[in-house]
Amino acid sequence: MLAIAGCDRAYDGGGDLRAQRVVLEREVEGLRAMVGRLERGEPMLPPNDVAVGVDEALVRELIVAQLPFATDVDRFHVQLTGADVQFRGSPTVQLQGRLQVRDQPDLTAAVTLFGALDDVRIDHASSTLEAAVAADHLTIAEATGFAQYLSGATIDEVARLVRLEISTKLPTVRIPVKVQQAIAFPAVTDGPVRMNGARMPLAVAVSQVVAARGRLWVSVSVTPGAFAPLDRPPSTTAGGRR
Amino acid sequence: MTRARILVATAVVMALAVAVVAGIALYRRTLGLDRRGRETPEMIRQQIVALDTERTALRARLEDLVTRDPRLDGMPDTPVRVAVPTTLARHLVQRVIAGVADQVTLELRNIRVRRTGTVRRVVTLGTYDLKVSVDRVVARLRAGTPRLTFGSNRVAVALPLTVASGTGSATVDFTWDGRTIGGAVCGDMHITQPVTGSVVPRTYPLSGALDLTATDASILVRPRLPRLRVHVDVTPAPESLAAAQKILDDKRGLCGFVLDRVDVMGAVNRLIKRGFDVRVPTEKVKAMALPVGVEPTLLVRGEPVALGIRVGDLAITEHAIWLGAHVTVAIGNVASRAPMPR
Repeated sequence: MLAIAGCDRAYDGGGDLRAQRVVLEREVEGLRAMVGRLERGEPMLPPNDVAVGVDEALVRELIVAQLPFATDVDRFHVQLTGADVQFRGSPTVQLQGRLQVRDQPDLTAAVTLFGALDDVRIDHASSTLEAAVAADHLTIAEATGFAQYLSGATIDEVARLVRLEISTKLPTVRIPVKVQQAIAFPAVTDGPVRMNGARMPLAVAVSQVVAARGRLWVSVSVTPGAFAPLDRPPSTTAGGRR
Repeated sequence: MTRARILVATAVVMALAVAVVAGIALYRRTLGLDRRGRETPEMIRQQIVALDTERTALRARLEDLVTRDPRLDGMPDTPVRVAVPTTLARHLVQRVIAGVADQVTLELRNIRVRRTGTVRRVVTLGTYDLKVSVDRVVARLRAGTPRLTFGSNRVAVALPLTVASGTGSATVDFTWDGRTIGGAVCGDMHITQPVTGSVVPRTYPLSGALDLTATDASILVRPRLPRLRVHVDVTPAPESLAAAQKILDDKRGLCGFVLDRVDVMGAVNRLIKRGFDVRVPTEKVKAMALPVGVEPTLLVRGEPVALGIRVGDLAITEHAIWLGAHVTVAIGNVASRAPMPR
């Protein structure tokens, strides 16, 4: 029924085309913003912020390290096993894998999730950089069994459902760069020079993210707070998100 | 088959047909397959061509603009690179020096001076024992604004260091052992009197360098400062001296001659005003880690996994302190997968 209902003469790989467009739009949008800033004479990143640059090959390895990622969405089982990363205007990520109908294991298809690193932030607990993967589009191809007879529109609808469900479950991408949220100085209690233990809190937050020339650039603003004794809680609250 | 059954079957088939048509209509409406203005694949292809053309032009423009950025001078060619702007490093170091110096005190305890002697006037009148015990001198340090100069892979630092304020307390202990000759001269006497004072502020110029080293996890800033000897001057509190003087005055009478010869208050004053030299152990100033570095472990599926990290040399330019690191993720066969085509 779904196959018949979804049948449409105008359908011609619409899902794949939209995926391409979404990826291109994201990238062009990022490039426009960055080129605009540089043409206005503004720096690529805020000049007083710490800049962290990570190559796309390393980020790809970091993502792949989290794979395989498997989850169930409705009647489907999805397993993502591969990743590709491109930092050319936007931090695009592709995750590849297979989809299987849970109660009919012979119905399988290849899935590709098109997305981008998003919500780059400092994790308060570990003080390290991390990012989410925003899922822009998901395509289903190379269907086997009965699934190959489904219409393009139906497959697109399944893809949309899977994308929406999976986007909240994707693992966090952890970037191995630590940004401390305080500088501590231990007490010196012997000798003629004495010092009370002190701690300078730092409000740290990701201020900008730029993907260019195969690198992800993350700028982090660092604002020192007031010194406080080590045994007293800091007066400035550090923030990790923006 | 009776006519009635044929009619019922026909009705059922027609009802099913209506239901199917309605279902299809509902489904197509839900998916928006029939809505006006629905994008056709051809429209999307045209947009993709336009976006692709724009992307090519923007990438070329970006390559040109980024390579001109002088802030990228000295950037290491490593998979991970961290730049701490010199403006931020300067601000942090200034804040740290000021903040740490405010927490530092010089503390002197148990400094003792003793003077003994004999007072004669034709014959020996007696012996005295004057002990001044500095119980405690506490002085606070304060750092002025440090001047930092970055470049040529080093950081020079110069700052004024002030012994800003403080207090001191001492105990004067004077014992007179008189030789009584017909009761005509001063008899035995013992005076104990606390004396307090305040530290005289004094500023010292301090200059040296900051050594920056890269460890696997951070950038360490270690001060290289010359030995510093500070002089702590204490001014006795007038009321404290007056109180001591009053006690001595009360003992004058027959003892006036002895007290004048010994000059108890003069000795106390000379001792205190001489001040105290203190060497500040600058070599013990601890290294400070800049608050950014490479994290050697990664949480993979909830488990910490050690990363392979090889830190490169630091580069210190006018604009930034650069730290570069090679990081390898040795989990599974991640290196064997091919990257996607450009």
